[in-house]
Amino acid sequence: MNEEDKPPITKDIYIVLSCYNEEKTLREVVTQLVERGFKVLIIDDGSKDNSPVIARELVREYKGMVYHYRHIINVGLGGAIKTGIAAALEKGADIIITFDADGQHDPDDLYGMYPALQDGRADVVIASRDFSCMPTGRRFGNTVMNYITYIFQGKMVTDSQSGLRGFTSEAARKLDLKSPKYGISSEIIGEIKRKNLRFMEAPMTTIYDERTIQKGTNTKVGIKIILEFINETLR
Amino acid sequence: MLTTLHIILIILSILVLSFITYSHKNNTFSNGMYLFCIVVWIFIVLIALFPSMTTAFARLFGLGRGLDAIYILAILFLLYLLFKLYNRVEDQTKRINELVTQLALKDNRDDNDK
Repeated sequence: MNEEDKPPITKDIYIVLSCYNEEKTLREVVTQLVERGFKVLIIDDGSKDNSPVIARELVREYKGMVYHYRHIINVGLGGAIKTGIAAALEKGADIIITFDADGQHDPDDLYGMYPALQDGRADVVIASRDFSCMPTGRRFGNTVMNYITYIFQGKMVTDSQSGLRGFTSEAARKLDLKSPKYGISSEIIGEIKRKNLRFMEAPMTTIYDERTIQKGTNTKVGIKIILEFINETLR
Repeated sequence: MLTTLHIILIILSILVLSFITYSHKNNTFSNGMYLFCIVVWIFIVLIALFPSMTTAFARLFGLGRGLDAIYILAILFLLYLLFKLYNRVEDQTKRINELVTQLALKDNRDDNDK
């Protein structure tokens, strides 16, 4: 994207970067985000590889732009997002965007997300993947998850399992998130409906390679999410 | 006439009832759960003392033998306990997660203060 086409950043935007064993991609992802003017909160979810060392190096290199929060044990994606949102609010963020540290997201997609939040046109923006570009198995799984999210959370969206979500600080404060793991994505969709938040979708490109395909919502994760929903419903 | 099994059941019930009451006093049992367990174990004592009760009970549910009704009730009770246990584990997991979040936030604050 040309420099002049990039929408200006007029508010304090924090990227919540959930990270679990991402030593291969962490440095590159953080650098790309900082170069674009975003502040980054690395939420290291109990990584056992070299990620914490790299994160601390990045904090020193980009002082005031990168912060590191470490979970002493691995709690899952939901826990990392909750920590990230709490940390961003503590830092006084105006806009909070969740991002994956495994390199599957294109940082340029953020340009399609924050303008609506900055201008007050939306409380929540979720970037949606183009399902036609997905591998068949993944496309089927994500479509099923959209319907499951609709059944349990009552809202149909284009991509319920997207990891790229933006919130205004007011919206983030209203979220009541309980799911510790992958169920968080669908739970956020439910919260948008329950809290009556103004919602928009933005297009997004996803970089698929063997590693990111392995890490995403597979059948096992899908079943776990369904069981989590059933349990929450019966409680 | 009381058989050995009946005596064992009565002694076991008294022991469990004492344990439940002790746990309740130490706040490890909620009021609802305490009441529920008391009713179940008193029921077991009554069955041990008056076995013919089970036949009347089985007739109430349309079952042939008193023992069948007890088995079915026991399975249902175990399923209920399993569900309660699962929820308790889930609750503990959530509390641990909250602790992990708070620790991460605190560590970062401490690092900034240095």
